[in-house]
Amino acid sequence: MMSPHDFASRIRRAGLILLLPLLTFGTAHATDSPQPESSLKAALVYKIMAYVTWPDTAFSPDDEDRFNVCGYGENPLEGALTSLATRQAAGRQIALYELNGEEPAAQHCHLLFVDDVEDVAQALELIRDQPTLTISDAEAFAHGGGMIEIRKKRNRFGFLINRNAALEADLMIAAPLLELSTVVGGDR
Amino acid sequence: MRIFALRSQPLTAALLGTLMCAAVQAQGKTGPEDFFDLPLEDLLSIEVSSVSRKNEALGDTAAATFVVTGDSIRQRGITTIAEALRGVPGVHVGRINASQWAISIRGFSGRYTNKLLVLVDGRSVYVPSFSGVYWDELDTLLDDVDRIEVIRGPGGTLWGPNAVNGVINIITRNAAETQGSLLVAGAGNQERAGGSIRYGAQLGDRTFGRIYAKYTEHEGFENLLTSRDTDENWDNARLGFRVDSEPSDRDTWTIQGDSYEIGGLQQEGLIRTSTFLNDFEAQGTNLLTRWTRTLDERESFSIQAYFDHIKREESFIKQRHNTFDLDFQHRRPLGSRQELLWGLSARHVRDDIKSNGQLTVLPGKRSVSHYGAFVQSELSLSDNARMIIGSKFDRNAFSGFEYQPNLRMIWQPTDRHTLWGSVARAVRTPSRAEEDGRFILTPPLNAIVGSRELEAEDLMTVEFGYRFTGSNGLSLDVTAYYNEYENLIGTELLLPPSRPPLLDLSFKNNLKGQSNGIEAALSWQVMSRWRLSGNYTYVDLDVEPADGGVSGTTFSGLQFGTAPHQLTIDSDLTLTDHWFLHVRGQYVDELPESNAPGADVPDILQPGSYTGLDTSLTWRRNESLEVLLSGKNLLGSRFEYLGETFTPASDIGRMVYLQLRMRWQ
Repeated sequence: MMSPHDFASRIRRAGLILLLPLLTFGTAHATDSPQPESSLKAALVYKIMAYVTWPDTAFSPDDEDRFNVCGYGENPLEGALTSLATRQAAGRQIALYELNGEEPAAQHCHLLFVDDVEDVAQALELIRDQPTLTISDAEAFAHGGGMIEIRKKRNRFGFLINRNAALEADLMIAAPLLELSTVVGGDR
Repeated sequence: MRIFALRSQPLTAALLGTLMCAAVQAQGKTGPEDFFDLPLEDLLSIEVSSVSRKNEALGDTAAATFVVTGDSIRQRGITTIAEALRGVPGVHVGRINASQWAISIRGFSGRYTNKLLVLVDGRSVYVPSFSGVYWDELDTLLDDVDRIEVIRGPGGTLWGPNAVNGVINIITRNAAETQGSLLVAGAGNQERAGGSIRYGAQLGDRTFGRIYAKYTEHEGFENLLTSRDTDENWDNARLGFRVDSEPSDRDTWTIQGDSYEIGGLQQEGLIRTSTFLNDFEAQGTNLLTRWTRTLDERESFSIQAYFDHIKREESFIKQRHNTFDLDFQHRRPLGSRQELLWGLSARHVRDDIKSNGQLTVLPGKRSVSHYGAFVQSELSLSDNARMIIGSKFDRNAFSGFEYQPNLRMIWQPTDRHTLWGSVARAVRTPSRAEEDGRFILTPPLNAIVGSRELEAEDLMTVEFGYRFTGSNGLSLDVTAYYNEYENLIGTELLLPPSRPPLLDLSFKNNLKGQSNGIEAALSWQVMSRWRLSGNYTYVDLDVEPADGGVSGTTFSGLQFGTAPHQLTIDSDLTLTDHWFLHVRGQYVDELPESNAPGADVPDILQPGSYTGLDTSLTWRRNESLEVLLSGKNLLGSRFEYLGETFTPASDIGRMVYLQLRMRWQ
């Protein structure tokens, strides 16, 4: 049987021999989407839903009714929102829809995510006066009448919440979420 | 806990990030599913840059690591850095008395644990005179601590000498994250009073700053043998500041400093049964600045400089150290599959050590310089395998040239499973006292005499780890290692003796040792409001004379070593939106018997096993007001560790602490 000492000596030598040639490799690699940043944002969107109460009027009496999450923009969160499709919100299965700015939504959106590259005002116009929770990572979204803005500050995500905008839409945002967020007044 | 995985911060975490993260940049594995099961608070505390940079399933590091978050320190009512390390896998914490701890990773516990490197925001607090850490001087405003990263195993490749069995990085928050005012006040039976105040403000367009002041007062415990109060105490006062700025999108700049004064009374004496109450006092001042430039996602460099002054006076020794340290590091890609990290460092230490006879250090003043360079490469072998290889090369004043290579491999067969392995060498350089000291002993011994002939102690380690991250909030992290130590410093008879018939001993590299161990950590988010976590540590360390023990007496410097078995279970429960409850149960095995001569202590001075129960209850009215009541050691008093020099045994009793925390803008 090899003594522990021999074992260590061998490893020592092996380590040194391996050291040099391996410093010089290099080839190509592929990347994938979505970026983790988008994945994290999608998870935040999902987490937020648990803290929000929609009015009864937001759902039809039909138990089969889905919870509709609408994405506004070409490819919101690089497709990371699609991972919500297997989840539930407000006790209902989530259904995903894409909105473009041309026509109003064919169905009620319980949640609207506005991609940061899009025209925020135009997006909000689509769900005006409806009990729709609006979330975006667009800058100045909360100040511009949106409800929850996901923003990056010092390398971490945080929320800016326009509580008045939510109240006007009959949505209740629970205190624990407000405590984790910065609450701002909106001009809407 | 793993999700806080090692974010980028220059020199500590940036280095760490690359070391650990074996990153799987090639894979883009992180999907929303990885985040869905985490609590919202945890999601908000993930640093975006590191997630993006690593682009991997969270926590996929090629090393044995554990992170103590600032939040957990706060919610568990912990008031010292030493106590924050209790219950961390692989770490042994034994409290000696009011102000002293024996803390180690993977064995060799002692008040002067010398095989463990401790850094605060990139500044080493390893004291070169004794090769250890004065835990009583190590403190900061704990609310400003972002996290404590505990890396088990050799870290010499990145951190240089003395990171033998592990590295502890204490990382404070960026000043931008500590804006506004904070007041923390507390009182208890052992920590009599504690108060901290911090004020953070925006100083410019992209510049933030904070200042803090802190004061604590601790009482001693009962003497284990006499059951009388030791009358020891420990006061700690400090103030400090930190300024962080981003002068441009690609530059960050930090300047920070602390100044402290601690002191108190401690029982001391050559014979443990006959001790006297003596003063101790220490002052320290440090100033650090760091500049980091990010050239692009994969390339950055940083320069760090610090000055550290400490002055410590105890009855048996007075010492003063001034340290100047300069570090440079550069991270850059080498082709698309490889990343290179390299750096240079220089350190200059001037000391002045005066003694009263029990310990003499000659020459009393000495100036030493150390220089180092390291290079490390991280390479994608395939879509799910990576390799990290590198070495540090140092020239130090105590043992000359040292090399500390490391090879790490990481393989992720699927998103949820990670396997890694590592082979590394690390060294512990002789201390100033081991080279130049003369310790007076009790008859029949006369003294232990230092030697300039000493070489560095060295370690070869083989480690393997497995990590599993489940979809249901369950995660498991297991590490097994084998360590082989050579050139451990012991003593042998010095002939002829200077005062016959008393015997003199001299320090000598005449010991060797092996250890193996397992660390396992399990974390389970039972429900969104309840997290259960637990860990188990096993270490089996054996130290013996290198030549069979015929050359004279050996004195290993290790007293009782580390508890072979430790088990910790934590429950973190959010009772309602305003109430949090933490409960910890811990079992710590008895310490192995000392193999040091003259330390043949009676059974009653042999720390036995114990089971401990700690709990803390927090009422959080809102963001601005919080009240916490904590009880530590609730199952009764225990004897945790016998200090190796001059101190009597303390019976560590129950501790109750009430704390109020207020924040405002």
